[in-house]
This record gives sequence, structure tokens and C-alpha cells, in this order.
Amino acid sequence: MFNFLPMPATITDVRQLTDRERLFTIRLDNERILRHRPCQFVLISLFGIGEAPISISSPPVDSGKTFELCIRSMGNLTNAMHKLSVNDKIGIRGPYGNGFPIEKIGGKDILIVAGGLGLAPLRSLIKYVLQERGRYRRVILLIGAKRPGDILFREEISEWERDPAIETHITVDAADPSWTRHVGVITGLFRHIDIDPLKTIAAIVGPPVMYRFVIREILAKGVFEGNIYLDLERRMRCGVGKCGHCQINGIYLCQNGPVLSYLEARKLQEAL
Amino acid sequence: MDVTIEYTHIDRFIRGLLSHYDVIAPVARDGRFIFDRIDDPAAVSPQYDTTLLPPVKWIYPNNEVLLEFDLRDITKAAVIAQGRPQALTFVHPCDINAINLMDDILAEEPSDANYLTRRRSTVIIGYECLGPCKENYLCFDKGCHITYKGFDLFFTDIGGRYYVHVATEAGREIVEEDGIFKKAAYDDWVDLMKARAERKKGFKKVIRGDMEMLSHHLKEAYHNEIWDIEGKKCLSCGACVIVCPTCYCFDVSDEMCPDMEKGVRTRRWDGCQLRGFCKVASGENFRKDAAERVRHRVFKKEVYLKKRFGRSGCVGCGRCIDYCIAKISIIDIFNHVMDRVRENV
Amino acid sequence: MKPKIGVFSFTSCEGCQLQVLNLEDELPALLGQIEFVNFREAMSEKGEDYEIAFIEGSITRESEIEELKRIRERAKVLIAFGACAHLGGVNVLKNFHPQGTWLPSVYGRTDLFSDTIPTKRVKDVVPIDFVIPGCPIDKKEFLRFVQGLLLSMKPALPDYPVCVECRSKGNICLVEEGKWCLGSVTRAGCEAICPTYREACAACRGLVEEPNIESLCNILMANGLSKEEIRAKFNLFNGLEAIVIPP
Repeated sequence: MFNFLPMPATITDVRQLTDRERLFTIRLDNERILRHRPCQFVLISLFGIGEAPISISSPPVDSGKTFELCIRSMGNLTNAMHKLSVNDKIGIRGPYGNGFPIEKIGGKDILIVAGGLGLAPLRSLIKYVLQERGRYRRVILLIGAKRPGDILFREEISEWERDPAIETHITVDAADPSWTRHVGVITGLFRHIDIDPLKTIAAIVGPPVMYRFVIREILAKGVFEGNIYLDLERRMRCGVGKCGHCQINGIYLCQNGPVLSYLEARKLQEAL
Repeated sequence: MDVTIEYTHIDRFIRGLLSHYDVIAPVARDGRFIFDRIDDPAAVSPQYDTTLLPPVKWIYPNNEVLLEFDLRDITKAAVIAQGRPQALTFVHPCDINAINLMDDILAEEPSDANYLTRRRSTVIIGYECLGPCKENYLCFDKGCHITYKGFDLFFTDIGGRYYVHVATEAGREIVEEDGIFKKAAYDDWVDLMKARAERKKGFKKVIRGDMEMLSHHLKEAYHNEIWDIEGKKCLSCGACVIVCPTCYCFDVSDEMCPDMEKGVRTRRWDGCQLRGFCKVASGENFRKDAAERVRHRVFKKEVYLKKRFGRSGCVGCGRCIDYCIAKISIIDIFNHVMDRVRENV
Repeated sequence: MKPKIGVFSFTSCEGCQLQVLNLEDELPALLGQIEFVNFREAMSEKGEDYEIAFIEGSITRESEIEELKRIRERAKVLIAFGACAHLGGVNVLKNFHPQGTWLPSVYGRTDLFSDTIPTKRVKDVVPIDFVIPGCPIDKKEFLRFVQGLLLSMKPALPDYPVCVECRSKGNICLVEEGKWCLGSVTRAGCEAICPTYREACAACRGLVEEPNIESLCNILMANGLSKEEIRAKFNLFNGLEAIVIPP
């Protein structure tokens, strides 16, 4: 049985990532552990203001009791969240959604495509895969952002760029004079990678306009539709498949998503 | 166990209910009918057509308080799930079928505590309509002019008295306590069968085609021109989804006391026909055309709910047709789709 | 520090100010959170140290333009409150008559208010931050708005039409009865107070985004209204809005 009561939680760290995004570290009160999967989300609750769905940016771990949320300030709740600091209390519901099917990807090449804020949920998957690195073959990461200043998790990306365990490519739509890497939309990065289509699992998260173009590139490389996973955005309001806002044709994205394979998404006319 | 009750004892029956329950009954208002809480049996109008809002709204009310909180200590927030004993009386079969579906939808895990709490403290007293209520109905096509479950008692007018089917323990307690119910005799049963046979003659099929195939035909008609035609008419006013007995979409918001310390989290009815329903924080609207929204409403009832719960989400009450000022009619939409299938065969 | 609020009135009936004062049960608690420093209908002090200015009334005289600009310069947040400030309101009706005919027809003389000009909305004169719509405003909405400001929220108005609130109450629809009502294209938030009392919604709260004017016109014409009558219904409060009645 479900009610709307959020779990009390405490902010234990706040880091400014860009002008608009901050990374909050959160601990559930009363020794509770979130126990989430990569690409699941929670509903943050600030009483008096409301609730908002936020993807979890940290990987699932058994030991640590905290998790991380990367929050862009753009509505009432997220603006209010940006005013909070360490030791402030918030409410959490969740985790919700199916999450990334991590049990299906062992022994495979993992291609991760992150556009803009899409890196926030994918970071949980990237970190999870790197923790369990031995279980996978190649890990390829493509990151796109509008401008250099918009890039999230810059220090971590620098580490990944140096880490032989992960092949990282990054591009911006509009460069500034200090930018030395690729310029152009994220699909341009596909020229620079070779993949083994039969062994590759792709995970894509980005703004709605991005999916069609990125999927086209990946299909062109010969990857099977069922091995391309998308993490879609809709208006997740209740998280429990009732309120109707996140419905895409017959499915409630908050329950049957947010991660869908392209094979599934293709059959839903409203998905892409 | 079946019993009968004389017309003249209905007042006493309602008075008896009032001593145990909040009694919700059809009452006349400005020439129409609504389900309202009554405390005078004389206010009840057992002979009514379709009420403006369906009775299920008494189990799933608008602006329902979900939580109470205090900003000084958010850990003290508490769930408010209320369930005063209430009796929904004189409920037509279509509306009982709707409640049955709502039960399935909202009991599906993760189940809705607020709905279920209210539902468990509700007794339902069904009332068999003696024919179509009005012009716009498709309950007969839907098979929802009859119901086999979802009530505690079920009344059928058999002339001078009602035949009462007692379906549950709660129903049995009601009829036993009153002392105004008589055990049904064979003649009563014969009269019931006669009344039902007579009743059935009044209903007509209004959809030109096989209802079992409707879901399939609609899927084929996803890109049919009908959606644009109806979408152009649609005001996106939400009347159809507010009056629908199987619509359950909602939105949640917070309201603060003037002292800015205590507050409540409430939910109000929302609906997929409203423009902003699928708009996300970034401004993207995932169902921005009225045509897409009209299609979604029809598909939600006839395709998506049917797939999930094994039966259509439409019970054929016709409210969405009656209350659409733009005259969008699911009967016309279904017939358009069925006709197109026939043309193509 | 309690935020300091000024309430200012231009051309209007001052009924929206009165709505604030009608919050009798809530005001004592609310005054623990905010401070009114300038509120002609409620107090005699005229403080100039307001951060939040609520502007009531439309702008119909040259002298009002300067006064409004002066308030805008002082206020951090400026809210057009009530239909006159938000839409121009009923004062716009004079714009449909030739200038120079107003004073004699209303007052029978021309030596009053010599600087009268065509009615403007507040936003036609100064930038506004928010709107609280309605004729008059809904006092609960004002309360929620102020509470929102206290929580640093951008107050959001309902984006759905009056029909949602009207139908949720189980009201009988006026249009269904063959009458006129603009509720289907009008922004909700008033709890459908007019149709609840069997009066047509005249769109005093302004229109929803993308109103389906064409469909509503077809419906109202089927109910016997002429295009001119429909235009007049919209003009009562929305005379300055670009509403296209289809040919």
C-alpha cells in the first residue's frame, strides 16, 4: 500500500557543478538505505512547495548510506533546493522506475551517450560499470554539452579521460577559445568510434530532440534495437503509476520506465 | 439471500442507514441530479437519470488532503487517510461497474491508500435502472447496464416493492436490522425476471460493429483523420475527464496555513485533456495538440486500460458526451472507426 | 525581516484592495509574516520603503503614468492585481468610443480629468513581475500568492480553464442550457464562482494559453449569439487582448 509520505532525509554535502547545477549528497534519516539501481529516480519533497522528480546520479552501493542528486535550478522546487545547505532536511520518496537493466549487460561492450543533463542519470551507470569493470568489455562514453561551461562533473570527466578503463569522447555545440576538443553536435562523435555491433549495449540520455539522431547513428553501426536503451523524461508526479502525467501510450513511465529499449520505445508512438 | 421491501418502507430504510452511515444519495438540483450527502430521506430521488458527477467521486474526492506537515519539524508529517462509514445509495449498474474498475486500478500495487481506506468504509446499494436513462448511452454495447458484483445490496423495482439482492455480510446486516425486509418469495422472483425481461427491451445497441473488436480497430485507426476533426472542436476544457466515472488522474500541491508553519499536501483531479497535463519543467509539452489528447482519452479507455485490466475503461454512462459543449461524442468516434473498417473490408 | 508591501490603486473600483481586507480570518497570522507600509484603503501611513508593490487599477490618465513609473523604480517586485491592472478591465470599454466623447457622456461636463487617455494595462506602462487576475481578485489566491513569495516561489496560476473547477463542483453548464459562458477559454483559479451562482463567466481572469476561440464561437453561435455579441462579451474584460473571432 502506498501513501504520499516522504522519508525524511538530510543534505550532507552540496557542490556547485555549473552556473545552474548543483550536486547534493543526501542521507536518509533513521539508517535507511535507498537501494536503487542506475537510472532510477526519486521524488524530492519540500513541504510548502511540492515535489519534483530527480534522477539519482550516484551508483548503487551496499555500504554507503548516502546518494547524490544533480539538480538544475529551473522551477520552484529546484530553485528552493539550491537555497538549501548541509544539514538541511528534505523529504524523499522512491526510488522509482525500473532503472537500467544491469543484469543484461555483463560481458558486453557498453556505449554510453550523454547529452546535457543526461549525464546526471548516466553517471550512476558509468560509476557502477567502472566499479564492476571486470564484468564488461569496452566502455565507451560520448558526452555532449552546449558550451564548455555547461559540462557537468568536469573533474570526473578529466579522470575518465585519463583512465584506460573507459574511452571518453566529449564535444560542445559552441566552443570558447580555451576549448581544445571536438566541436559540434554529439552525433559527430560517432565518426571517431568503432564498435562491435553484436557485442554492444547502448545507453542514451539527453534532451528529447537528441534521441532520434543518436539512435539513427547507433542503428547505422548495426546495433540491435533491443540493445539500445533510452532513459526518457516525462512529468513524473506520483511515481506509482496512478496520476497519469507520465503516461506514454499504454505505459506509465514512472513504473515501466524511465528506461526503455528502443525496441519497446519504437512501438510507442508517443515515446520519441 | 434475497429479500423484498415495500415502496412505503424506503423512508424507514434510509433512516436506518442514516444511523450508521453518511448517506450519499441521488437528489434533484435545478432539474438535474447529483449524488449528495443527505440527512432527510425525503430528499432522495430514486428515479433519476445520470448524475452530473458519478458516485465514485465520493470515494475519490477532489482536493483530498493526503498529508499534514509542519515546517518547524518535517519529520512529523503525517498521512491523512480518512474513511468515515458511508453508504452510496441508488447507484446504477454503470456506475457500479465503474467503481469496480476503479477498485482494480487503484488497488494495483503500489495501491492507493487513500482510495482503499475510503472504499473499505463504503457500502454500495445498487439500483437497477429500468431502461436507458437518456439519449446518449452506450452502456448496453459495453455490457455495463448490468452488474454482478460491486454492491452490498441491489434493488430492482418489481412493482409496489423492490427486489433486493443481498450480496455481502454488510448488506445482510442492513436488511436484518431493519425488520422491514421480507424474505423473497417465488412470486417475487418471477416478477423480478419479468421486470428484467421488460427492461432489456428498452436498451439498444448504438455502436455499429463488434465491441470485442473495438480495441483492435482503434489501434489500426491511430492515424485516422477523426482525431484532427475532433481535436479542432475540442476546447481542452476537461469536462469529459472530470465527469468520467473511471478517470483518476490527479495533481498534487501544497497549501500553507497563514502562519506559514503548518500546511497540507492535497490532490485535486487533473485530466489528460488539459493542455498542460504533459508539460515538464523544461517547458516541453509531450501531448501538445488537442487531437493527440482526444485520441489519448479514447485510447486510454479502450486500448490501454483494456489491455491492463481485461475490460474497457468506458462503462457507457455517456457523461462525457452529455457534458461536452463542443459535442465530441465517443459514440460518433467509435462509429466512425467501425464504419471505416467496414469500408475497407 | 518581514517583507514590506505597498498596495496602490489606479483607475478601478478598489474592490481588489477590499478583497485583501476581506481575509479577516487569515490577516492576523499573515501580518506576522509581512508588513503593509502603504495601503490606502487600510491605513493612513504612506510609507515609501516597500519592496513588493501590488498595483490595482488600469492607467487612464497621463498623471497615473508617472506615478506608476515612480512605484516601479522603488519596488523590487511589482504585481498587477485585479482585472483592471492585468487586462485593462472594464475601463477599456471607453477605448471603443472616440476620444473626446467620454467625458460628456459620463459626467455631462468636460472640465474634470482633462488628462484622460485611452486605457492601458499596467504592463503597457512598466514591466510587471506577476499577475493576480480576476474581477475582483480571489482572496485565497492572493493569500497563496503572498505565501508563495515568502517561500521564494514563483507563483503559478492555474493553466487550465474555469470548466475544470465548474464541472468538479457538479454545476450545470450554462452553455449546455443554450446560454453563453466564456469559462471554457478562461483561466481558472476563481473556483468558478460566477457559474456556480448561475452567472456566465465573462473571462475576467484572462484567457488560457491557446484558447480554442473558434470552437467556442461556433458553439455560442449555435446558441444564438451573433459574432458582434460574442466580441462584446470578450471586450468586457479583454478589450486589449488580441482575440480573433473567426469570420
